[in-house]
Amino acid sequence: MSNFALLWTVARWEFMRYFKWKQELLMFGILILFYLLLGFGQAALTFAKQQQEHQVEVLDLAELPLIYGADGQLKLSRIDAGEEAWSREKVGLGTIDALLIVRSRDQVELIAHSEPRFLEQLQTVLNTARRDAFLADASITPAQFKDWSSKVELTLSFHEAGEKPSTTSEKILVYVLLVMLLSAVMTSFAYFFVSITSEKQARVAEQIVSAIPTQVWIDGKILGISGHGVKSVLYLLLVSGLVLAALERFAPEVLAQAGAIAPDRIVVGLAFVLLGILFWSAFMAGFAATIDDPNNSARSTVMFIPILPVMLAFFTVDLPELGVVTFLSWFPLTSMTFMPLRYALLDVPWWEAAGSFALLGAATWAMRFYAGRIFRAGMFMYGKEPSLRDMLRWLGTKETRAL
Amino acid sequence: MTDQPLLEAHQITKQYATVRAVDALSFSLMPGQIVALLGPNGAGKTSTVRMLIGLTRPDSGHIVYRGLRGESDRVSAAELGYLPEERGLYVDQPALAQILYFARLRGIDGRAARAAAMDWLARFDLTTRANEKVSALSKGNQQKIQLISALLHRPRCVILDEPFSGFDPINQELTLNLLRELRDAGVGIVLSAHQMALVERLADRVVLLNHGAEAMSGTLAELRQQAGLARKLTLAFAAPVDAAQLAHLPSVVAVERLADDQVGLLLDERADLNALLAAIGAGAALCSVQSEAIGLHEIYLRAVGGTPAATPHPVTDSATQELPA
Repeated sequence: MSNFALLWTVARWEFMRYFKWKQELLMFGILILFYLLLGFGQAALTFAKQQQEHQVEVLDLAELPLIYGADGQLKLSRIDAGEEAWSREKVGLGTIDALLIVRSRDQVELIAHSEPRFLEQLQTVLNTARRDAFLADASITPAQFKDWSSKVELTLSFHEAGEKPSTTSEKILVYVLLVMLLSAVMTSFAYFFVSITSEKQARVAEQIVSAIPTQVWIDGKILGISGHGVKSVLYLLLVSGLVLAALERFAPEVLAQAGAIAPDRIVVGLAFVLLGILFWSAFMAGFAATIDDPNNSARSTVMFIPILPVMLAFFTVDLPELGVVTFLSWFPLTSMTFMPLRYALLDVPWWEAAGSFALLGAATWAMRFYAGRIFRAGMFMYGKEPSLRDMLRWLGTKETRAL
Repeated sequence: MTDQPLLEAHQITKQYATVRAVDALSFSLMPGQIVALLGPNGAGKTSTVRMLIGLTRPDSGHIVYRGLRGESDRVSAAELGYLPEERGLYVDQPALAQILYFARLRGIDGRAARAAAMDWLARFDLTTRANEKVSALSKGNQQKIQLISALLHRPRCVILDEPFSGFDPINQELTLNLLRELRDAGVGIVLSAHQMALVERLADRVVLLNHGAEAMSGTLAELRQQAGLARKLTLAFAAPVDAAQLAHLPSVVAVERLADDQVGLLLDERADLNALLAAIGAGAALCSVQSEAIGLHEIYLRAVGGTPAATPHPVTDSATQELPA
């Protein structure tokens, strides 16, 4: 049996060990339900806010030019000074939302029954009334003021050789890619952790290594368990597709505002995400083999290492043109997040993406090779965890067979 | 049997830090032969097995498989069957699924593996439990699954570490017969086990290990000769006797006090039973005498120093004699 056939056998086994149709359908259903609830919840909240009317009684001692009656969700009603006590009582009973006492143009008190959600709107109304009062004192009409304070019309265009600004869609693409990578790597990590430490504890390793070369085993493992990471990417893609289809159907203006994304930016981004999953999977496969007791090992924290490049990328979404971002987009430990970021937001030449991809590919190849050496030695070390020195020594030890 | 050995270990040595786990060990396995590795805990059995299946490399010496020597001459996975000492199974997976997986790794295609697996499961009375998770099976049944996984691909050479572990007497017999069948079919088997009575009935050759080195090796008859033991007499007296006095009789290698009025004597091959019994009968009234050939148990204890029998004319109390686990 060829090594390729063995690799496929192992990869399939490792993937299917944790793939349960019922569980997957349930998980996908929950994901869809989550998005539906999120969408419906947001719409319901907006609708409820639009329907809510806030009643505020106003005791105006400064004669501000306020407009009474309903203005959006805010309804102002004027009262006399003799009605203040009764109005305060109504606030206490909750029959009105608040009492506003305007003592002067600069001093206004709001007595509210509870947290006033209309405060921002009320502040605008008061500012406008105060401004109009000063304008009236200076014999300036509101129309004149509006005319003077209107903005200069500034037209923005970009030189053909320059960098065009990124659209909202492109930024969303970066966020989606980062979330995909993070979700996939964490998913794979969890499975690697469970799979390898349980195999080590169940002493399955001897059985397998007596049948196939260790490198084939770890390669199959990386492919099979990474499959769960890729699966989480597919789920996110599917859900994203459904969200886009829903927006297209119900709110096409949102899509139009967001702007289009060039397909190559999606393809390049996904390619880096997939290779990034393999890279971190290879890392974890080697590392998990050095953990003796998963319940007591402090090494579990290493799972957080791949979060770093994702977090760094999140912070630089608005600064893709920085020199350090360019460096990180080439560096194999970070290129899986920074190159998709640059490629989506800037006009990065294709050769840069190809070069960075090749470097990441080479790093992934080396990682699975050296992870194989650590894995081989780590899987047969029982009762203690190897030191960093042990692991460095293993890196220089090639696989040997006695027979 | 053919003339060419299936497996040869030449002066293999393995050192772990300050411990020499295996020390210049040599033995060979012919097709259709069963070689048993015996020894107390830490004697080097598992280290030897690990080198045989290629998990580790000897620090010195070498292993030859069917005339092929060297690290690159890896035994084809299909030719080797291996049963690890501890459970090497995915406990959260169905029994049949992992039998098929291990068979695939040994190069058997899916359909053939399934047919063979069903035959084996039927033989071990596990057909109805094929799709149960291993964790739901008893220790004995898990051992059966492990044994099936080691044998399903019809290997030429089988290395079994504690094959009888977890089995009740009926399943021990079943396994014993199975291994005999394999031997008769030309399969070479190296086994490591603690069940002396079973090994005695099964092994063609025995290699007794102690502190990593060979203490004795050969057929049972050869081992008896090497140990200087031939027979065991169990004597019952009419009254309590002083066992220490019997230790000085000719050909008595060791004395075991079984009760106040019962004694076991280990005799060398030169023992003259008539003269010996006459001498004993002259000193005390004998009620009964039972004579049997020396078994592996006594040879083992003598070889590994688990009993004072290793010293001249010792007397031991039967209650203190326990076989090392």
